[in-house]
Amino acid sequence: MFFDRKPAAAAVPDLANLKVSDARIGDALSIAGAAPDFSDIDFNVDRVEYFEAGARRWWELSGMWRDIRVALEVHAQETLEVFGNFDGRRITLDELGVSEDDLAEIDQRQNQADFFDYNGKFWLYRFSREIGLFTNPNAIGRGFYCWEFQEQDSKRYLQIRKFEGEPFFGLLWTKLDPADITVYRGA
Amino acid sequence: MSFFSDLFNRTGRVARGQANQAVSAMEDATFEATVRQTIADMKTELNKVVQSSAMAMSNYNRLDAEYQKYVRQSAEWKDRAGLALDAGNEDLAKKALAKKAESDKQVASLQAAVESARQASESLKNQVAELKHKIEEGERTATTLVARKNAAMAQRKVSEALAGVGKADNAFAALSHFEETVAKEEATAKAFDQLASTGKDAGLEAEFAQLQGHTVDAELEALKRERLGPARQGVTIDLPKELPSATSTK
Repeated sequence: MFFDRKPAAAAVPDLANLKVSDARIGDALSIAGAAPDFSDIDFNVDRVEYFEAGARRWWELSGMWRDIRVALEVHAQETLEVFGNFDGRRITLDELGVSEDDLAEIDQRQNQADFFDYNGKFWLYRFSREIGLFTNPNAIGRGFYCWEFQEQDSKRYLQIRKFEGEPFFGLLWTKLDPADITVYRGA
Repeated sequence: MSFFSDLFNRTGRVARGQANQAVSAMEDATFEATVRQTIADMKTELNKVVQSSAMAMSNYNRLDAEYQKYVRQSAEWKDRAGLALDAGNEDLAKKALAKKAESDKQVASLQAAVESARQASESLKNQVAELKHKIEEGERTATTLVARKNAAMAQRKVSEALAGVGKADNAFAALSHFEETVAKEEATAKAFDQLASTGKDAGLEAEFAQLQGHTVDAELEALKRERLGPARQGVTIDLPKELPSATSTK
């Protein structure tokens, strides 16, 4: 019977429920309450960089918020994990109070009981290894060495990166709840 | 004239009734699809608002980045002017303050635009959140409506079947119709049967049957006589009552 036909409603892309792992260049991202004054951090993704360490792969979405370059590190292999860097700061080893030799020793020991003191907090060693950085998944990348520390009893992480021929620098990341991030698909 | 007017009114009423019935049938048949399409339309609308929000946020982020740049430059020139003063270089301090004034001018000119863009962006973000909430609510309502509609239709079919007011596809009505047909057939057969037996005398039939029975008896007697034959008639054959006793040869 003609009337028995029930044509399915045309599939509408669900742009209102995109996950941060769906975000791409041109999208606007809003991170609820992430600014120092607890307002939202809104930025447009203008750069995506891909990272690889062994079997692990993740990527960084970045853009300008106010006049600061902010970034989200997105890990989507087993569970979705997102880390935000919103201060745009590159912390020097002097500011951190560690030397290249300290880092070399820590790397050699690979001991998660190691830690150092920065800004009155203990930063616990998590890992150190070489990481590949690619501007797109098919491009030839470049490598850098990375040390990662976690602030004790906190969701903050410190990455110390060393590219060949460049000075060491530290980046502070805060673990975010993916549900706090809204993706607004650009046209 | 009044006859034609009445005729047209009635015809119009019939046509409207038929049209309404047809539309109702279409609505019944496509209810779920129609409800789902309504939700899909709402999602399409939401997608448009999301894209508008992305544009508004992009506009705000761009303006705000420029605004913050001038705010930072103003602060930097102020610091430099202070350093120049500390160094006793008033001319340099003046130049730095002039640069600061330029930055401040940009800050002032951008302030209204940034605020307006911020409000537009915030407003659209709120609209997206509100619309998302409404669509979620709409989806829940749609699911409930479809379930209620299906339940009501099933209930109606059962009730129709029980009340025997079903339509062509009503199996109960069909069975009832078959029953009537069979009963009619049976009644017809009985009527013909009665018609066939009209004018017949049962007693007479029985007598004829008896007569036929007598004929059979007479024929049997004749056959018996024939089997005995004329020679045998009146001759009595004496048959021994017992056979002689057997002698052993051994």
